[in-house]
Amino acid sequence: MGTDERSSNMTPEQWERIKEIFEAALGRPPDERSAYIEQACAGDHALRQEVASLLAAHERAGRFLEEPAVSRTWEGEPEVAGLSLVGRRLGAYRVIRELSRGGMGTVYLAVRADEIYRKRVALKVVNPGMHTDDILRRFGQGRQILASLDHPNIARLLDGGATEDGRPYFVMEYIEGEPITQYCDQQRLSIRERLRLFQQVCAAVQYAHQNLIVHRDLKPSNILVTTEGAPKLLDFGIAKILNPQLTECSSMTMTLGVRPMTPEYASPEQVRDGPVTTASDVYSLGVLLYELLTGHRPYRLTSHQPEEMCRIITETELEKPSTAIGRRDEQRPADAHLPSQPTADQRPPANGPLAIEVISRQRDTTPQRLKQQLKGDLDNIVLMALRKEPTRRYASVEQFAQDIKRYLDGRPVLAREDTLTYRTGKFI
Amino acid sequence: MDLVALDEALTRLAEFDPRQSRIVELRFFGGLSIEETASVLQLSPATVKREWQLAKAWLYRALTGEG
Repeated sequence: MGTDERSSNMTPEQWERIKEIFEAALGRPPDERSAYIEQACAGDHALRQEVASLLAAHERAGRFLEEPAVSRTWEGEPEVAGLSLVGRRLGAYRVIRELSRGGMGTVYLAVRADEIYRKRVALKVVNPGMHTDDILRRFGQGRQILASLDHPNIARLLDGGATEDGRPYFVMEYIEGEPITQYCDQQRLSIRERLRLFQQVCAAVQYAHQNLIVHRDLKPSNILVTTEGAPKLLDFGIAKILNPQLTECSSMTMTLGVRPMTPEYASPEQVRDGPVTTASDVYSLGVLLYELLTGHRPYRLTSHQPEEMCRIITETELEKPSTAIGRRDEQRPADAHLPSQPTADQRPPANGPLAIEVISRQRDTTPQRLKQQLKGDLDNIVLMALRKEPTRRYASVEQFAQDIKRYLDGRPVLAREDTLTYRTGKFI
Repeated sequence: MDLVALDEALTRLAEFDPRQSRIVELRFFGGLSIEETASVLQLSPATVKREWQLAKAWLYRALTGEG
């Protein structure tokens, strides 16, 4: 007998009745169940048959559905009622579990719910209440452009859509990897190996720039390295769509209420509300290279007050990488706002000083050699990318990468020490 | 396990018992325990367990035709 006829025109009342008798029957010893159903259904033959059929199915079901579709490997609290999309179907995708959550959006692991079921994706959805008209408009514009990016080192945008309550979501290639800084330290990559990996990152960013897409939010948790050692850039252009004022001082105040963000990779023009161009990505890449080489970020952000952070980013003269390695003052808040897959920037709690010995060992060298290696050309290259004025940086990511190539090839580099010393009093 | 068939059966189940369908989604696709599912849906664990039993039986029959 087919189940379709039985269920398709079933009323909620009938189902409630079935449920009631089914549960009561299960509460009795097996040999009394049949008699109980007979009596409880009081001559309703169809009802009796349906309950008996379900009880038989229950007997046979055994371990059916008891092993979850995807083994659960994460730890954590179940999510808040109503907010969670876990288990739900969005377009062609079935949401499996939450990967990370921020004030603006939440990232889920999902799988395609059709014949290629095993393909895993990252599904990034805007949180309830965050889907303003402006974001929806940008979302529509952005999807077309992003879908055109096709590069081996950029996580692909696969799809997009909206939830039942109108919240937009992006479906992206799911990348299993770790933040580039963490990867380099764990693998104890030497300075030269780090530079080669960084060049691959530059090539991917350059490709996007040629397609007129600026990342705007380059940071280690958005640059994952796979077990094969290939860097993959996440969230290209999404920062602009989901978070138009992501890093500007004005919005820091608002963002801080939800969750403290780390503007450490933002350029001075970004925090000053100026025009954001490809030069801003050059700057963020400069911050990343600084950290890859020295184990420190260029600034000591001593305050989480927006105005103060703004002042530090736009006015502080930066320490040379070759001297920064000796620093013992690190406070490194995890960077957060829009969460990235699969983990936010997970580093050891960096409250303690990162001794130069540790930093050198992670770079497969000694403190003395490290200092020697960074001094001169690498100092100049990094600081050229990090100049406050966009026009005085490398003109493109490509030029930045070419200068690194010159260094690696042992040829003279273009970057020179900045003679136009930045003065703190400049804006006063 | 034919996940596509399960997906379709779940959609049919949701037509007359959305709560049961949701419990299966969280338990099977989300990997949540009875207790966790109860906390997400704000139900008692006993209720989740009862609903889960019937949902499993109904889906088993829908997928195998046995019962």
